[in-house]
Amino acid sequence: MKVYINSINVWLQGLNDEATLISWANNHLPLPEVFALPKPQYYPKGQLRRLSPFSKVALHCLDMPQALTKNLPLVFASQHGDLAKTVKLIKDAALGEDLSPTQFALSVHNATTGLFSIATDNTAPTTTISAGKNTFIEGLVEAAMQCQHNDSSILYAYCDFDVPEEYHQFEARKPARCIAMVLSFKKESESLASINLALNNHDSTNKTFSLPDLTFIRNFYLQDKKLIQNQNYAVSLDFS
Amino acid sequence: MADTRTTLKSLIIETLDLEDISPNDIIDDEPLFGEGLGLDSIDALELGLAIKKAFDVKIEANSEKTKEHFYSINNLVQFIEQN
Repeated sequence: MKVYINSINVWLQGLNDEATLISWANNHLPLPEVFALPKPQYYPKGQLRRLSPFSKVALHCLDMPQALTKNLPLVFASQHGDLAKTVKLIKDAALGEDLSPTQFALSVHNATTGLFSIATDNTAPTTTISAGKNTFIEGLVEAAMQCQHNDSSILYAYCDFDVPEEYHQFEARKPARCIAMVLSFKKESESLASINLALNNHDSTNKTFSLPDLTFIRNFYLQDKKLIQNQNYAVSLDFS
Repeated sequence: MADTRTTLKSLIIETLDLEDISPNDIIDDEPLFGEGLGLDSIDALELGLAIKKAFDVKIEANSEKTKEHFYSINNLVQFIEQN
């Protein structure tokens, strides 16, 4: 199956413009240790203060003309969601403290998609996906299926942050990252690249895969066609 | 008491992450919600919780009086000092 990328906005540990992301992909630029958070420009000013770092980054990446105006369906994928917020709430609950109403109201996995749809008056369906280590590609498969089934453009956003300290015994440190794309089933005049999705026929039992989302970012900015795999799927980019 | 007033203003700014607002910008007798500072119902819940914690006062969730207490800084200070 093939879908076309008509627009893309990547935010990787503070790197956001094409030139710096290309430098990173070429190993010319290390990822910054500390980063400033973006402010989604289209978001109501008075409400910005309620957004967590996770939501700020995800909503910022969705700031693409088509995404804001075309009432497109949104597929949102995240392995951990806003885990920093969840951990804070769990800690408060364990200490017998009252939970913050704002934090609690926005702690569900699809809170960010709700914030996006309200801010942009988007009434199209949204789907949220969490699929362990396979999240980025499984989300992409869902988005591609929706593109094909509805024969329309789809918004796909993947976002994950490094897990909070308490979880580092289970998961290695990873950069904060978000990839938002406008995908279509047919090639458009603005199409930048296509994504090929196929079942992974190789014997992948007991195989470990490099992070598909980071590899995707790297391949995109290097215009590299190398396969990106997980247990189930093999993904590649084409720039012709 | 000037102290309660200053503490309360700082608490509002800190609790609700009101960037770009200083305690001096919060006018004592202006409405906190809707017009004035422009806060909404979620802010009211958040603020209620913070005031409960900071000043150890009980706030009735469904009382008409609560609305009155939360109208302005002056009303809140009066409410906190009486409880």
